[in-house]
Amino acid sequence: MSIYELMMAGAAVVFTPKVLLFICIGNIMGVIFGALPGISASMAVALMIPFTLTLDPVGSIAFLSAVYCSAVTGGGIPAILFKIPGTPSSAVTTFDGYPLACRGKAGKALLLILVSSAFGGLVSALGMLLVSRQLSEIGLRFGPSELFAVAFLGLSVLTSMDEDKMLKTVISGLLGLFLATMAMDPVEGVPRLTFGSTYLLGGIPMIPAMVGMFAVSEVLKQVARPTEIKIDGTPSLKDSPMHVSFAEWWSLKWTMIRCSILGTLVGILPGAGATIASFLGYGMEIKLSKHPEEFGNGSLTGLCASETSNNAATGGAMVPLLSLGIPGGNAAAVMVAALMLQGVQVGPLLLKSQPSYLSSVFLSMAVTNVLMVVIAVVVAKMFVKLMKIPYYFLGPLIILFAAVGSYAAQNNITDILVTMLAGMAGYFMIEFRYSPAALTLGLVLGDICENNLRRAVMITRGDVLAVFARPITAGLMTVCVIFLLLPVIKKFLRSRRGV
Amino acid sequence: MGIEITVNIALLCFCIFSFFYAGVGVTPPAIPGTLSASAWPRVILAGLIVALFFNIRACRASRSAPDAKSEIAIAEFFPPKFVKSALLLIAYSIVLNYLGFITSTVIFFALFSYIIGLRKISSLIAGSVVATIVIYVVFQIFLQVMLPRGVWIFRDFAIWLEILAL
Amino acid sequence: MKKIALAALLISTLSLVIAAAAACAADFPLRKIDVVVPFGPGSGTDTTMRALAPSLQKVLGVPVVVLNQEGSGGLRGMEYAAKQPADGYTLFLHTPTHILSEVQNLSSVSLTNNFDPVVCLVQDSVLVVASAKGRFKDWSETAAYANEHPGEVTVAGMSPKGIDAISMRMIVKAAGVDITFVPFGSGAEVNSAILGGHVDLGNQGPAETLEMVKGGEMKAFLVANDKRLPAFPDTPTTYDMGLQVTTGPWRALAAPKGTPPEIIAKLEDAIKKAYESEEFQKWLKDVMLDQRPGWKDSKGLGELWKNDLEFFKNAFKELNL
Repeated sequence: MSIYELMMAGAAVVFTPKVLLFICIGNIMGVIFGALPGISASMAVALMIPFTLTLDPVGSIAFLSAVYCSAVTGGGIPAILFKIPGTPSSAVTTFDGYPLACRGKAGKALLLILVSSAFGGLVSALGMLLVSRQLSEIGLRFGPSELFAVAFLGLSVLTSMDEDKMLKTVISGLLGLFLATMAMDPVEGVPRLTFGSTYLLGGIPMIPAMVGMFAVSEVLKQVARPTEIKIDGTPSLKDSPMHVSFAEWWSLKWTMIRCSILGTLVGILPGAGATIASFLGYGMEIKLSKHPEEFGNGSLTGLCASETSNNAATGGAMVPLLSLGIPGGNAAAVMVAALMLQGVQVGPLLLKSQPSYLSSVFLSMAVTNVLMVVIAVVVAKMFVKLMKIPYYFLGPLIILFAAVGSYAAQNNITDILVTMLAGMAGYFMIEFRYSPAALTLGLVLGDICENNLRRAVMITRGDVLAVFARPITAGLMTVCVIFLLLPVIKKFLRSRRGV
Repeated sequence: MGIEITVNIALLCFCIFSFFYAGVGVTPPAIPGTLSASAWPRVILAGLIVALFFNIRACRASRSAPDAKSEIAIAEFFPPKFVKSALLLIAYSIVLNYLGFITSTVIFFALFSYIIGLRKISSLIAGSVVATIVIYVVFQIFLQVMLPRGVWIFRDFAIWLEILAL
Repeated sequence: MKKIALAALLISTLSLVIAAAAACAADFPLRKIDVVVPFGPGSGTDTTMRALAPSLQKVLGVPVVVLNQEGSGGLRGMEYAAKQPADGYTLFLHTPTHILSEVQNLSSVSLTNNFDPVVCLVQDSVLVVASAKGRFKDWSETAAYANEHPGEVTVAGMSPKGIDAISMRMIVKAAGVDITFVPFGSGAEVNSAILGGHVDLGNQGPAETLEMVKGGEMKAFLVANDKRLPAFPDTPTTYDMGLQVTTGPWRALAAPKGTPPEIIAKLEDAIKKAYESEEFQKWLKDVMLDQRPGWKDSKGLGELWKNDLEFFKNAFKELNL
């Protein structure tokens, strides 16, 4: 089928009143679900499955991918306004989004993330349409040792995150890595550092820890030090028009292009999705930036990197799903379940029997990425109204949303305790200038790093050198080592010279 | 600075303890030569121990530096409001198990608003009831998340509400 | 003060009414039934229950609600369900994972001691698959190579002491070879590793692999069963190869211990009707859970528990786990 025929077939499915209406609804629900903390993008997709029963399989996937894209975008709204990541993939958005909002630039930040998200989503959708086959092949080449290298690359950014407080950042990161190991060891199947607790067998859950460390600690900070700065510091949309100058857009062009490509590639890898993509995109931009000290303080580049990458991962996740039947992430796995309900089995034959899947998903994502900007603006304005609530109601409300949101992920009450404890830990870390961001980095990447390293070593039966001799792995690891050591060496030399 | 160093030292001790504990109950790997379950944590812990050691030294150095800030009292870093809020948060997560969502949240919300500074009783009650209802509707009804039920009569009450909502 | 007293009175009256209703077995069920699923939404166990729930709801006349209580590899749901009152309004969907956790003593709650069996729903099988572009063409070739190069052949699976890993290890032991088992995090990662050529073999269920085999990307070398699966007519069984291994994942329902036998009997009846309903049977066919007979009543499930517990205890000893 030529591209033209493919597009016609896809348009025939998508551009019908019924499907378009569903895509609209999917967008609205997706953004709202994504904006609700604790409801991840895959949960949003799962919740919308009942709606697919009146659609045919191709239409269902077009609809669900719309929900997916808009949910990933929606997560950035509370991240900027309240420092609560609506979805785990927006955790990195809080790093620069919230400081911007505190400076009264919430509107600018919101517009930036929406357009960045749309750009990332569109690029990855285009990639999915045009080069699915090649992208899957590349994805399959990433075995355990390559995945380890990719995750380690994310960690190697630790020394660059805050050149002044390198030691404290590294400690935070290592702490995060350590916390990630307190679980049932997935490779040997033995409890490890769980201190006899059945709860810890599942490991320290990511969403409660992140939401606690960011949102709850922030509320605790506001409660403990009710200063006048709070009034100016509280994000407000009224004084901040949604305006980003052309010059600012132009300066971000390379970031958006780079992060879109990175996000798409990361999305293809099963076991790495939008969350990992946003961390890696952020890390990449820190290394390439001429002003790394701005990151974490309201850098437009950092904000853009995070949201472009995580939306680019959505298209990437659909690539192996449609071409091979292997879901590229959790949300894609839920879509597999949706298709099964319709009696359709995913696999390599899916596209052969129904090539229109590719083009209809593309068209749906294209429509969604544009539509969701509009919808997200409306939802954001609704959220902003919330900020007018006086803090003695708003503070507890934020904590409640954080607590119940963390609970909703696994229906586990102990998760709420984790959220609260993480909040207190986060408060302590911020007071003494440690880095919750680095801790989150370690927590999120720790499992992937370790498990893949051990799998790789198992496959080579203990030959560690052989693991690193593989081409992709070797290349990535060299970059890692340079990234890690360069800042340390520079700092050491600088202190030696007494500058 | 005293608190920071104390926490650092406590963390250091915990890391050293965990270093040895990591080996407890861990069998050597099924395949010889591959990484055992305690290898990776130990590498991390080793790094942590070294880093913490340097950090403690740096803290003490900045403490005795000529232009160091005077010792800030513990009270400054942990004002009473923080302590009260922290205790309330922990109490909430524990009480949820027994009183269920509705009761615990109404009490929690009112207490927290009080800590922040609201004193008018009617506002306190109104605020907490409204907030609890909003969260209940959003999560239990809209998102179909089963909120904690608690035990005994609180459990029955929660189930009765769920049936109503179905 | 008056208002508080009134509220307390209301709540206690309500609870008395509900408690009284619940205790009356003859009128069971009077209100909605919760089914605790110890894994996340979208997982195999979860979708099974969600497929059964509508039919069960029709038969029983009350809502049947799926409660996901995931965490700690399925143990959290078990601990939660065990704490619920044994009044028949809470059911617990479980798999061999929970027998295995009993064998390893991972939790203070044990399946056979804290629950009463209700029914067994489905029985799934374990397949050994390989990439079509891989270096082996069938099981005999693989076993022969593994004989001469112990430990070099790799097989990908999920949790290292989970049901599919145990089945795989038993196949390997019966064949007398040494194959390295590499655990991954999800079925998608396993498939990826196989197709990418990072491992030689893989351990999966029929649903995840049928399309791959039909599409020519994978070959199915073995199925752990005594009869060939209807959907995989060309795949030899373990029995064909002289290895008597038939273990595989099953999904069953249990109730907290002490549930009155009349209530269990009622549930058994109702679930059987729901199981035999057209919608559920069609779903079973779609997801390939109809390849092996899976239905068991409460007595049958009780025996399954006993036999599997024995079997896995021995397996663990034999396999040095």
